[in-house]
Amino acid sequence: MFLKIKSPRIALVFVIFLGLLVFFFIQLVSIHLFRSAFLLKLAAKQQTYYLELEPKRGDIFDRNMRPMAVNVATFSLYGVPPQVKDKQRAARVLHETLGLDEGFVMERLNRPKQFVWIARKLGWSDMEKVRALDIDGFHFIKESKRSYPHARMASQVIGFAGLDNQGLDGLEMKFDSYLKGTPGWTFVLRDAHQRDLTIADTLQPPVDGYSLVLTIDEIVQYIAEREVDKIFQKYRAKGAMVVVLDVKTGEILALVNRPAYDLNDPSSYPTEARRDRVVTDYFEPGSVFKIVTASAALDEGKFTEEDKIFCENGEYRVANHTLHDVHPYGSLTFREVISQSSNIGTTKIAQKIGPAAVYKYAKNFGFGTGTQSGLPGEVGGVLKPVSVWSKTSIGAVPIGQEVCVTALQLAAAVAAIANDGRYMKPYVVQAIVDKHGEIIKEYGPEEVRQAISPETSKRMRQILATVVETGTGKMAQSKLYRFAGKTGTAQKVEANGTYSHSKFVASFIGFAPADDPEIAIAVIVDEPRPYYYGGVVSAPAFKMIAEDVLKYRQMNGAPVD
Amino acid sequence: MRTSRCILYTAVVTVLSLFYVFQQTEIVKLGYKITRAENVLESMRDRRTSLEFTLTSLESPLNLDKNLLMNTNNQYEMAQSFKLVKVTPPRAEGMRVAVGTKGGFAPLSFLRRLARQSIFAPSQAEAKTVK
Repeated sequence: MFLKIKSPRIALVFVIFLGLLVFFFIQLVSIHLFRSAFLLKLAAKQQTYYLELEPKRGDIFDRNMRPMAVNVATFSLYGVPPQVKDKQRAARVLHETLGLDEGFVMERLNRPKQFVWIARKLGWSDMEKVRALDIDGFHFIKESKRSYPHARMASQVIGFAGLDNQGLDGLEMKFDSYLKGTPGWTFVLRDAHQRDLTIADTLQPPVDGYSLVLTIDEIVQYIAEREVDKIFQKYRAKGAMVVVLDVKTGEILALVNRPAYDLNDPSSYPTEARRDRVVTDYFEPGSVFKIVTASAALDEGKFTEEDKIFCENGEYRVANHTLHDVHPYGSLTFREVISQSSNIGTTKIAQKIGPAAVYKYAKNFGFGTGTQSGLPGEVGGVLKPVSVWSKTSIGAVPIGQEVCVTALQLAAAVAAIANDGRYMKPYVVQAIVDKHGEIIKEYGPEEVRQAISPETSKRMRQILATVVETGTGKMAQSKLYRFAGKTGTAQKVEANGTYSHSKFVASFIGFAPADDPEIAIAVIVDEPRPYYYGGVVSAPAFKMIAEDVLKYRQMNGAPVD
Repeated sequence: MRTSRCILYTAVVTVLSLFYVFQQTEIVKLGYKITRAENVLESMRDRRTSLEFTLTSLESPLNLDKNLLMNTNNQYEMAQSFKLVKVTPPRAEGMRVAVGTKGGFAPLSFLRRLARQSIFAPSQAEAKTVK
């Protein structure tokens, strides 16, 4: 032994300390070797927490990069009831500041919970007002809210996103996978006071969603909406639709549905208002479909504009069905048959060219199949193959009965006539871009087919100009430009299968200017009253829209002096 | 000699240890500062987004129509191109052009100008040709 301890007391103290030393040593070895993993995990759990990083949902822009859907930070107020000292006062103050019901706040604060929602998604000013009150036990959580600066403009096209920023309707839903982005995550270090400390590295940053650039032009959309509102209210219509297309590219410049709804408050409107009628609703087009019959007749070389057709003085029998004209006519030229919208004359033209030709050209103009515009819920309409036509079909299909179309199909068809017979696919999204503006995916003009020859197209343009100048579409005449188009007044089918005498669809489809077309427009009004003729109800709206859109486009391209 | 070397080593180790502790404390302090600054930055970004949204809403043609034109019983009318004289705006070198106006014509500025003219100076709407 190195030490000789004579005193038994000192020896006892020495033994005790030695024992403690050995105990601590064993503990240390035990912790390091056997419990280190568990303890490290426990410490990490106490000092760090997992945080999911929300990606920014992509915006939606019009063709001029004006925002149509953006994300705005909002603040949700929550309470921690045990921390609220004077609940009565808190409820009263919140009632005065935010207009919340005192009873509601009291009920929430009296719950035996550590967390109760008081108000969700408040604006910046409301948040600042509440913060200034400095009430104990109330805190805010930041939440992102999808917001739409133009409220109800193009509402059915854009659609909306829900509370969790998931697209629920329109393009928001259709392109949700591009818009929503990918969440990221990080571990945040925090101290004993639960304060966050930015030391831990972000392990996975969020990937923001891509943005959509539409072909819609905010100003054109506004012009179309303004005019639709006028006729929708004036004629107390059940619904109204307008489509404005760029004839050369097929770009949808405006797409309007009435009734509409406020994208910032969709739950306050009936679901009916959310329907994008332009692509989801099909109807019998009536006389506007005569553009197909006329184009077929000219393209097949069976008629010229000056050929005479006897219109039977207003009454003509096809199988067991009697056709009538609004005004009885004797002999009319081919041009006059279209400009005066004679049902009998058009049927006689169709009888001469045959059902197969009518069907072929209807298909060429895109009827019976969807336009593949990319708009959600699009239907293809109804176009029966010739094999299932009845004996009366030749007196119905050529004048727009026994056939169902959408407003977008009509606009695309008349745009084909305006575009030298080239049928362009209508589209509404022109690009998907990332947050730096880099194009991820681009959609461009797409020629689907040559519906009619350029020569026929030219002749049809002149015939349709006559409709506006001397025919049924006089109310679409402009002092500034030459317009072309076709009116339509279709009887709606009643529930019992008969044609209604009180419910009509008034329509006007056309293009402008007639000689060098730039835009095609379809104006469809569902059940207008008391007037219901397409030439009276829809044609004036076409004129106003076409005039203002052309002026706007000219201003856009005008040289700088 | 041995004692003084021992003291020196102890002092060096102590200083290094103190420096390490100081460094760690400063890192934590900076961490708090960064967190606070990040919160302020985020708050300002949110504020900017909120203001941009308000601005876009106010600039919306629908809003201009509703609040500026309808209130004065004026009917918005798109001017014809021959009535317009477009002037190149004086622009300082290097000044950036706002997004959406690079093409030359700014439709919303036009609407705002039109609204202003309709309300405040209706008699100055048109210039006349001098023979």
